[in-house]
Order: sequence, then structure tokens, then C-alpha cells
Amino acid sequence: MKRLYLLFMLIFLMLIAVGCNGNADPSSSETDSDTTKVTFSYWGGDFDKKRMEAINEEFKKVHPEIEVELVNLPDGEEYSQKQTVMMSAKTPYDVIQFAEESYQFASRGVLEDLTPYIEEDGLDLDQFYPVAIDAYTHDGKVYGLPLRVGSVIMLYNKDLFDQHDLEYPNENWTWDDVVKAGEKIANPEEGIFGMNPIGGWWASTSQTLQSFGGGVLNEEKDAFHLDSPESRKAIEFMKEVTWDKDIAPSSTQIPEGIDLWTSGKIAMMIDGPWHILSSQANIKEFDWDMTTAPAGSQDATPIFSNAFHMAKDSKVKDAAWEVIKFWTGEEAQKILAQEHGDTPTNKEIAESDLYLDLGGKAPENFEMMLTSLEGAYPPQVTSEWGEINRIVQEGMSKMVDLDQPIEEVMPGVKSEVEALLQKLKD
Amino acid sequence: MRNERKQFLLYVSPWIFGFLVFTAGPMLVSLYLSFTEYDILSPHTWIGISNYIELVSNDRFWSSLWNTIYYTILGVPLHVFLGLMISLLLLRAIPGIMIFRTAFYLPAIFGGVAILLLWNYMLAPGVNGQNVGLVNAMLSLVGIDGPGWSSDPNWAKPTVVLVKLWGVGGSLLIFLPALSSVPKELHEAAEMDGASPFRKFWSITFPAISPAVLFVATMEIIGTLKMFIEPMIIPGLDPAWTDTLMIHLYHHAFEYFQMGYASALAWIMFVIILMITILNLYLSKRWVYYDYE
Repeated sequence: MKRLYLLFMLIFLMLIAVGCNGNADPSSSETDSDTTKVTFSYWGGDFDKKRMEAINEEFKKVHPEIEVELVNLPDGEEYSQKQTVMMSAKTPYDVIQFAEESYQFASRGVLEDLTPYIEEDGLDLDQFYPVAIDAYTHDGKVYGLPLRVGSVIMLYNKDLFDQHDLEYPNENWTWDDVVKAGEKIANPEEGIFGMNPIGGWWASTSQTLQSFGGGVLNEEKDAFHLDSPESRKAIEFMKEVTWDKDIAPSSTQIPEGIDLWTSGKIAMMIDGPWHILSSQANIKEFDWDMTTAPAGSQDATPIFSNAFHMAKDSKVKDAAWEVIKFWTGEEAQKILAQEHGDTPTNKEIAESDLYLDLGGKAPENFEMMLTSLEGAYPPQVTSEWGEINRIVQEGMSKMVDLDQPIEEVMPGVKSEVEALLQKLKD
Repeated sequence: MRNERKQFLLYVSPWIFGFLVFTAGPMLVSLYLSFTEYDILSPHTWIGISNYIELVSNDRFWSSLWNTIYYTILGVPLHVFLGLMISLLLLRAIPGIMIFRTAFYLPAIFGGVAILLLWNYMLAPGVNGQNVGLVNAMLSLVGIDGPGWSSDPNWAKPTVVLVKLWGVGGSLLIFLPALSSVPKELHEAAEMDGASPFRKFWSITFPAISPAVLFVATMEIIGTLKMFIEPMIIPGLDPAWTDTLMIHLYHHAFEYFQMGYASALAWIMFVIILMITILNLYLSKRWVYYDYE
């Protein structure tokens, strides 16, 4: 009996030992002595997948010694969760695409400072739009290099403007002009609206607040600013167009699973530039064009972009740097430019015909993409970005979507955000 | 005798090992973490009971607790009652009864996110008087102007309870065998004495199946207190209307990576569930009958 017991224990211990050693580091390993394997995680749909693979094809020609494994992960919360888990297990992806979460991770010391690599290679950062680099420069250190950049733009349905004999919007339009045109076009009974619901996610909220001179935080990002007179004016404006004037649909007026813009029910669509590619693919029934997002008391467009970061615990940092450099370099930028979607971060390529010449396809005013980047600002990120963003979006949704009084909602949002800001100071 | 004892320990050792490593260990670690600040990526720091203080001063904790209790008070009795009623109907030996039993049990297997997404579409409120959701469209056929469901503050919570009833057939597996094991001679005797069907159920059937009712109710209470996917997939227009404690925990653990706060919340939930279960078992002595008593 004793022998049997020992045998069992032995098998058991062996299983545990196997289990522990089975940690064969799948993320970053040398496949053989000639090639170095670099893992590269990103998110995105079919367009992104195609682009990433096209860049990889070019990369192989130049760097046969590096094998890049592209890993497409679900975006949003799940993406951050996956990265956190991989990093805490010390097996991070070598190259990681991040957007607004960049600072959150950099501040926790899990990302590599790219500044020394940039200096050593003499990489000229002036070739990029400064705002795109700023968004990934934290405390004077560059943590990520971006390939593409975009900002909030306005698409408009030309047919709806023609029907009412209205002048098309242009880059000088303010919110007043939008409201004037919107009031004439909107017909809620028919399900036709002047504009899309604004707010709902950080960039749209930020654009509206900023255009009235407000913001979620102050410029130093250490004080709550959503209750400033300017921000309040912006929130009141958002409530007004949704409820009093009924120009924009409230969230209950949007049918589940139907895209109001591509089905021609919205005259002005103020949102991210990805609508251009989907509009080109899906809009057949009406003519459309684009211009910059409207201004309030000032022009304001936040950029959104994403950048390629390097994990601090990567075991193949030199190869990972080559990958980042190539993925933001000229060949990659040209591949991106030919899509005529997001703006390449390389100024020269962005301004070339390769990007701007659509060959007669809509939108006609495509060069507005570049105009909208002038005076654009990087998002207000803090290391508590995730939580602040959620608190603010839920508060905004109460005030705008549910039309609750600002006075009722604001104190709760303020105390929660201020508690987080206090935590950041400590 | 000693041999038997050894064998017992030997055979049970995989379970003991699994329990210690995968259940007791993580529980103790989470108890420790609940007194620390820990974001997974940076080392944790001891902060005493700050997490617990933060928790009770967070409005969202209280609204989530209230929602969770609401679902339990409204949902569990409905679930047990409807499950029992359906089981009574399906007990009859009529032709094709197996088809009915299967039909009522199947939804309990086809659960999860896909079904909830489907419910989300079906419960979509109308736009400008036009019904988009299937449920409201059908209600309008019989002249009822359907509510806004998730977009209505008064309907958001009942919507979650309603959607959860989709899986009510799951209790058939417990109730049907229990019902069929009720002694027939007692029913026959009662019938001779002229007892009404209701009297028969209340005085014979219910006492006989009361252990099964207690089991279903207890599992359902624990399950509802830990409810997650229903309000996650079908949240109210303002999520504060519908969020449960589990959702509150999820946001803090896996979105904000505040593992200390989330661990503190997990332990508070553990204590709440433990207390309710003990209370439930204590009260059950008054209405549950066991054969051997």
C-alpha cells in the first residue's frame, strides 16, 4: 500500500513539474539561430488586417532575418486585459499597438522608452505630424510611434441639403450654422435628423467641449473642468440639439442595428474618419462629401491615433525596434496612403497625391482631412484614463441622452473624478 | 481500519490538492489583496481597510447592491413558482409529453450571450411610434403600447428579471423527479376524503417535494446574487439602473485593474451570500420536511 501511495505521489509531482516547465514562452522566442521572431499585437477589422499583412510582406523583403507574427486581438477592454495578463506573466508581445491607454501602461513601467533608439538611429521625428508624436510622449520620453492619425470630421449628405436648397457646409462652419441647417432638415416624424448624436464616446465629447472652450480636465490635467462655465455651455448645447430642437436623435430614437448615416437619415455626421471607408463601401443612394468638424467659440479637434509600443520585458528589443521603425516608415506609410482612409503620420506622404487623389471617388473635399489636423490636440490622458473616461461618459449620457438636469448629475461626476485626481497626486 | 483511512486520503488527495491550490489559495490571496492597492503591473502596497472604506462611500456600490437585492426578491420567487407550475403541467402522462418536456427544458441549455443579444433586439423600444422590437410589435397587435424596456428607468430592472426567466425550465430536472416520487396512495386516500386539488397539493405534494423546492430556491438565490451576463448584455440606458455587484466588481478588476478594491468587494459579496444562505437554511426548518424526521 505504501508503495502505491509513493507511486501516486511521484506521478503527481511529475505532472506538476511538467506543468511548470511547460511554460515554453510562446510569445517571444528564437525559432532558430538565423531568424528572430517578433510578436506584434494589434486590433482592427478587415481593412486593418489587410494593411498589416501588406506591410509585413514588404518587411520580409528588407529584413529576412526577422519573422513577424501578427496577432489580431479583440479591441476595447479585452485588449487591455490581454496585454495586462501577458505583461504580468512576463511574456508580453514584443510590439504592441496602443491608443489612449498608452500612458496608463507607460506610467506603470511596462513599456520601453524609445527615445534612446530614436537618437541612436538618428530617426527624424520632424517628418511626422508633431501632434501625433506628442500623444505618445509622456514626461518627455517617446513611448510609441504612430502610423496613422485622424481627427473628428464632418460628413454631410448632399441630397438632404439640396432638397432644402441649403448651402453645403464648409470648414468655416460653426455650431450655429449646423443648428440652422439642421433645424430646416430635421423631420423626426419621418426619422430624418439634422445631425448624429454627439458625445457618446470620448473624442466626440472632447471635440464638443473643447469647441466651446471647455474640457473634462484643465490643461495641466490636475483639476476637474467639466463644470466650468464653458463646459456647461457645451453640455447645454448638446442637450438643446437633442431635446429642445430635436435635431439630433436621442439614443432611444436610434433603432437597434440600423446605421442612420449610411441609410441617408442624417444630414451631418460628426465623428471619426473611419466613416469614410465604410461610406465609400456602403452608400449608393445619395451623394456625400466632407469638411472639418464645426467650431464653437474656437476650432477644436482631438486626434485619435494609435502607436506601436515596445514591451519592456521583450527579449528581442533590437528586432522589435526594426519592426516599429519599418511599420512607421515610408513603405508602410505609402501602403496606408493608398487606402485613402486614415491620414499617414508622415507629413510629406500625407500631402502627396498618393493619399489625396481619390480618382473621382467621394468625398470630393478629401484634403479636409489635413485641414482638420491643423490645430488638433492630443487626448487628455492620465494614468487613470480608463476610469475617468467611464465616469465622464456615464455622466454625459445621463445629462444628454436622458436629459437629466446638469445640477443633479454634475456633483457626483465631480466628486468621483476629483477623488481619482487626488489619487494621482498622492 | 488504518488501511481504509489511508486509502481514503489517497483517493481524495487529488481533490484536496485541487481545492487547496485552486480554491482556498486564491481565496486567501484575495483576502490579503483586499487590504492592498494592486494593479497587477506594479507591486502591491498595504493600505489597510481603505478599500472597504472606499467601497461603502461609493454610490455605485450601494446602487449595485440594491439592484442585486431587487433581482433576488423579485426574480427568485418567480423563478421557483413558474418552474414548479410548469413541472406540474409536464407531469401529466399525456401523449407527446416528452416533446413538451424537451421544449421547456431546451432554453435552459441554449443560454448565454447569443440569446441575450437576441433578446436585446426583440426588446428594442419603438422609434417615433414605429415598433422596431418584436416584443413591442406583438404587444401592439393586441392594442398594448409596449414600454421602453431597458430605456425606461422603471422597466430596466424588471426587463432583466424577465429575460432571466428564459432559463426557468432548468428546474424541471429537479422538480419532475421529486413530483413523481410523491406517494400515490396518499393522494388516493385524500381523494376518498373529498380533498380539493388545491388542498391535495398544499397538504401532500408540497411537503413531499419541499426539499427539492429548498434546493432550487437556494441555488437560485446564490445564482441571482452573483448575476452578471444578463445586466451586462441588456443594461439600462443608464447602467446604474441595472448593474449588479458582479458587474461593479468586473469594472474595477478588469477595466480599471483595481484588484484590491475588487477583492474587498468579492469578500463583502461572500459574506452577504453566506449570511443569506444561512438565514435561508435556518428558515427552511419551518417548511421543509425530510422523510427521516
